[in-house]
This record gives sequence, C-alpha cells and structure tokens, in this order.
Amino acid sequence: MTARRRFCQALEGPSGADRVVGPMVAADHAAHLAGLPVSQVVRHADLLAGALTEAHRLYQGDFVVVFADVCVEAEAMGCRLEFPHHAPPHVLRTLAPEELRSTDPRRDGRLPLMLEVAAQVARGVGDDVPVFASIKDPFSAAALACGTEDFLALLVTDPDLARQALDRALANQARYAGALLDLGLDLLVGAPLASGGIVGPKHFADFIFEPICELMSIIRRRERLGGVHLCGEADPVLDQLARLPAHFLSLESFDPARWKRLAEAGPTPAMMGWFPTGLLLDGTPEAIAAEAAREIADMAGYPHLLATACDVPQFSPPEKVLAFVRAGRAGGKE
Amino acid sequence: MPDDITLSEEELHAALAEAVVNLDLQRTGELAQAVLDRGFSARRAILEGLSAGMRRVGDKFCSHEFFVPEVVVASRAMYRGFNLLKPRMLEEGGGSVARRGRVAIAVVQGDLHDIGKNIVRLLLEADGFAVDDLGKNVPPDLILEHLQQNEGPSLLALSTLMTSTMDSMRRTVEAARARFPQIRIMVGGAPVSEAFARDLGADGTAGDAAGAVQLARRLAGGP
Repeated sequence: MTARRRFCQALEGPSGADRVVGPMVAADHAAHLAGLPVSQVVRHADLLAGALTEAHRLYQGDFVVVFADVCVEAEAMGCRLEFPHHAPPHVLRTLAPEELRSTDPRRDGRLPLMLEVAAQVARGVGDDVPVFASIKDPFSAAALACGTEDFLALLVTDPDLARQALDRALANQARYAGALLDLGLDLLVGAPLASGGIVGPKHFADFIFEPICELMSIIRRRERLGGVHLCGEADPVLDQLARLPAHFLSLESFDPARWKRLAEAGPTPAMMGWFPTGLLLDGTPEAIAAEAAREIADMAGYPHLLATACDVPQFSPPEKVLAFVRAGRAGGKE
Repeated sequence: MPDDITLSEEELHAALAEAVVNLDLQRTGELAQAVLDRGFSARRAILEGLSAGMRRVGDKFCSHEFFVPEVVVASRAMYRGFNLLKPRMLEEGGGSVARRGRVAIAVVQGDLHDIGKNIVRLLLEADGFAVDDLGKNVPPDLILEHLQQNEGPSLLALSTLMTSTMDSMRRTVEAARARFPQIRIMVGGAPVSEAFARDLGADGTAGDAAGAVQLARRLAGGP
C-alpha cells in the first residue's frame, strides 16, 4: 500500500494499515543535514528542493512538508528581510496594514521559488508520497508583515483596519494556494501566530476561523488534502479547531482527553502530532520511544497520525529523528 | 464620562485603574493629565492607579479572560499615563515605584523573536517589578555591561524561541554566573525544558508567562 493510501486511510480512523509517521523537516534542518548555510538554502530552489528531498530519503517519513521559513509571504507583501547565515530569515522592516501589497505567486518575493521547490520535491519523492506545501494562514501572514505586537493591538484598537489587512492577506493566500494546487500538491496551512494561548477564543472566532475555512474550501474544491498546523497552546480554541473543514489538524499542545470528547460529539478533522521536538535534541532513544508510545496510546481508537509537534529542530542529530520514526513504526498498526 | 474636576484623588486612582483595564488609551491619558492639573501626587497615581490596573490585567491574563492583544493594549494605555506622570514623579523624588525588585530581561543573541519576552516583561511590570528591557538579539557582553553599570538588577530573565540559539543562552548564563555569582537567573521560551534550565545552571524556568511571574516573585524572595 502506498504512503498516500495509508495517509488517507489514517484520516478516516483506525484501519489496520501501517502507522503513518512524519518528522516535519523545514529548510533549517534540511540545510543542517546538507551542510549548507540556511541563508543559501532558503533562496535557491534547487538547493532547498534537494535538501528537503534528501531529508525525506534519510528519514523515510510518510509525508513531506515543503517549508522554507515563516517570512515567505511577508516578504512577498513588501517586507524587507535579513538572511542570517545559519538561521532562518526575519523581517527587518514591517509594514503598516495599508501597505500590504497584493501578491502574484508567479512574480513576488520568493513565491515563484517556492512553487519551483514544491514541484521539484513532488517529482523527487514520487507520486506515492503526499507532499504538503506549507502556506501561512492569513492572520499569521498579516501579523508577520505588520509586526506581531502592533497587529495584535490592532485587533482591539482598530478591528476594521485589521480586517482590511486580513482581506488582503486572504486574497493573496488564496492565489498562492491556487498556484500550488495547480501543481497537484496538498496544502498545510500553518498558523504560527494564531495560537489559542496568544489570541484567545474571541479573536480566533472574529479574525482567524473564517479565513482558514475559506482556504480549506479552495483545497476541497480541488479535491486535495488540507491540514492546519497551529503553534503553541491550542486548548483555548480547541472547540473551534474541531469545526474546521480540514482533513487534519497538526497541533503542538492540547488536551487529548478533551479532544476525544469533541471527536465523540461530532465529526472532527483527524489529529496529527504532537511529539515534543525538544526530545529530538536531547532525548534518549528510550525516552523518544516512550513518548511516541504514550501518544499512540492516548489516541488509540481515534484518527491519528504520529508527527512532530512542530518542525524538527535545526540541529537535531539525525539518529534522534530516525529513532522517532522507528518508534512510530514500532507502535503497531493504525 | 465623569467630570474629572470633581473627582477626589482616590476616585482618580480608581478611574485610572479602570481605564487601563478597559484598554482605553485616551481616557488613561486624560485622567493622568487630570492628576497633574489637580496637583495630586504622580507617584501615588502610578502606584494606586496605573499599576493597580495592570495588576488586574495580569490577573485577567492568568485566568484566560484576557489574551495577548488585551495585555498589549493595556500596557500601551499604562505607558501613555506613565509617560505623562513620570516627569512629575521625578520632581517629587522618592526613587523607583517598583515594589518587588528589578529584573533585566533579554532575548539572547541570535534570536529576534521577542513576543514571549515582551509578554513576560508586561506581566512583571504589572506585578510591581522594575524591568530593564535589553531587547532582542542581545550579546552576552551587553548584558554583562548592563548588569555591571546598573548594579541594580538582582534577577536576569533570558528568553529564546529557537532551538538554534539554545547554545547562545548557555553562553550568556555561564558568563553572567561567572561574573555575578549572586544574581538569580531565570530562562524561558519554547525549547527550554526544566532539565535544560538545570543543566545551564539557571535558577529556574516556567512554562508560560504567568508562571514566569510566580518564579520571579520566588527568586526575588517575595510571596
């Protein structure tokens, strides 16, 4: 059975197929494995595609995420970035909400580069493996471009202006998603700044939920897979996440018991996660195996894909990531 | 809106606190100006009004009634009032308005993610600490220089979000510990575990901003 088939079966619930296991590798760890500076890898399609494809060959996960850094969309909307040699880029100059540019995925910033990377990775790993291109949710894209603190304050002081910025970011992300879907990719909508612990349930409902739903509708219309990754604490917005029309959620931190109650009450996305990435830096093989086993047991009987809670740390020793994949496989069938 | 001219000093303090909790920047500024116009003590207005309001904001954050957007705006309201009142407070004399001690806080060298540090800073200020915010991407030498020059902070709070800068945090803690053996050091951020904090030789870590305030209180010897 192909990885794609097993992935799709796992979304439906326990199937008796081999377990789906995925270390989420981003550009920084892939660059580390390749012995290349991050600053080069995130700006050259061949290098990034090659590094991500090689990481997949090494770890043999059941899916691939195509992810450079969180600033790709902010740069395309007009932010100037700094590219440190051995770390992901960051925004040097933020924009006023009115300054966010309408973007063309075939022209602006590194969006064309990311389209090329996604196409190359998909070719490199083959049709059998789901390849998820990572794009930001509109809220995180706008907040990264405008400056996180200023944008969070805007939700309270000038919600209409925040909504204008979000509308622009949603239109941009819809076009970017469309271009990636044209390549035949699946999508993972990453929400690094939409953490429930940061924004809380009211702002999530007012500013974040609907734009993510719109992106998911676009993905579903094209009959591709769509997931949502939320950084940080999810519990304050867990009931809203359960209603998202995503195929799966990738969460960093949440209460599994509460999630199971939500899953019993009605249809929910499948759960992906939430292996703590710190163990991939300093965990022993025994600790890694124990944590993987605990998470598998926690979600037994529910749709669950074992994956890292966030991307693999840049300097994780490869043997620890391999130990995580082995531990997942040893956890038995779905 | 009440006529500020008729408010007593205590009523002005209560109104200032309320304006901060209501996230009302304009009203906070107006009330601070009223304190000055009426010749009331700026120091008392800061302590009994603005700081009292921020303490309530901190409580609401801990109880999940407020989240980061509200804390950021409340803090901006507090500073709008504080910046108006500060010159008068300095004329009044009497030193710092901090009640719990002084903390130097920084994001370590190589890391530019400062929202976690900023939330902790706001809550520490709300809790009555004086906070020297050294910013983000701060080299160890600058932190040591600050501790040396200011001879005030008894607590050093260091943050990092990225796993790639955990070594930078280690270097900073080791340098601070070697030069200032008595200083209490707290560390935090997504990749920082209790085991890592212990291994660094830090005095503690906390899983969230509210926990960081509790830890700072404990390290400062308070309740």
